[in-house]
Amino acid sequence: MKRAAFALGLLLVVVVALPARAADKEFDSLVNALRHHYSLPRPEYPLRGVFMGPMMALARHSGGARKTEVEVATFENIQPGRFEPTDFENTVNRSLPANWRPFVRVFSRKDHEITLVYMDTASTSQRMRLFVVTAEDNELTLVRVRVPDDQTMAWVDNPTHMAKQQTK
Amino acid sequence: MKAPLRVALIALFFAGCAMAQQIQWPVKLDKLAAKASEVVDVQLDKKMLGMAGNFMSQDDKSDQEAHNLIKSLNGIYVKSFEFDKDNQYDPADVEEIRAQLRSPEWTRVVGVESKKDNEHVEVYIRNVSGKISGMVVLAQEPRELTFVNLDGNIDPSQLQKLGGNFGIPKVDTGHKAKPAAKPAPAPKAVQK
Repeated sequence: MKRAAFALGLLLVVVVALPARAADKEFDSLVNALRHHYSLPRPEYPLRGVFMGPMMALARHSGGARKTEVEVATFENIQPGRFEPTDFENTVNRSLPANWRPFVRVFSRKDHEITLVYMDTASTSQRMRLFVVTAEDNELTLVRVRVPDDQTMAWVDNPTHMAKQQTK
Repeated sequence: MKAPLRVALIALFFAGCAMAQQIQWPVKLDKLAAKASEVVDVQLDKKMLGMAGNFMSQDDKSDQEAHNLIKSLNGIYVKSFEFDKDNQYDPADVEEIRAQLRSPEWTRVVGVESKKDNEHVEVYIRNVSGKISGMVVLAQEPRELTFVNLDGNIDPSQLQKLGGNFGIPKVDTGHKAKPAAKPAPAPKAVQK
């Protein structure tokens, strides 16, 4: 009986997590494109894994309009200044579907920082989706978020800061 | 972006003016990105503004105000270049923008020139059938060039609420005769 309950529980977790993985193709596609283009090491996915993955998937299913749905990938130990702004932007643009449109671009040569923020203009959901790609110091971070309705203004106003909050 | 731009925006505010039609950004100015130590580029067209507006909270008062404000706009465009050295851009390059603002519907409402700091700020509004339908702010400093274009109708009284959002410099109306202490944050500060 215990085994049956365990198996049922496991099946539930898999069923809930699978659609989320399918939806992550878009996210993974950009991660892989950057990884291969710049020969980067394997990224970290702080919100995936044996425990966090199913928990995030369950949160997605149970989440109301006030829950943040977020996907994060980070590449670490990158040589500062590795990314040439134009090449970096072109690589990201090529790898994202056309419905993702850039609305903020920040390039800082002195700080070796690049921030690109995209909005999903074809979103059929009730919430705004943003993609924030930040290269700074020796780290490259990708954050895709489905923004809670009460945080829309904060994300549109200051997407970089909000994205950093998600990776802490 | 320092005092002159703030003064310009205050003057604009009291003049009861406000907003813009899409101004074409000269391609040659985009090449400045290669020389600039920092570039900020914000582009929100009507579709993106509409989407952001649709997703805003119906319960939050400030979100509602922001929604009311942006629903009449066709676009918000901010470009800012910061340089490590003086005179990295040719002021004549900016002339291409200024030339577009010489059409009859555009009026220069503010022009501030600081010889001491070598700063030059201009504010233009577009007036169509008695309604303000666009605004452009052009700020030139030896190491900084900033361009703000608000395209669409806006109530002048709402201008202050727009400042500080979407990469637009914050507007200080100076109603309570506050000391002109803190300079308005530049777009870069908003994005960082």
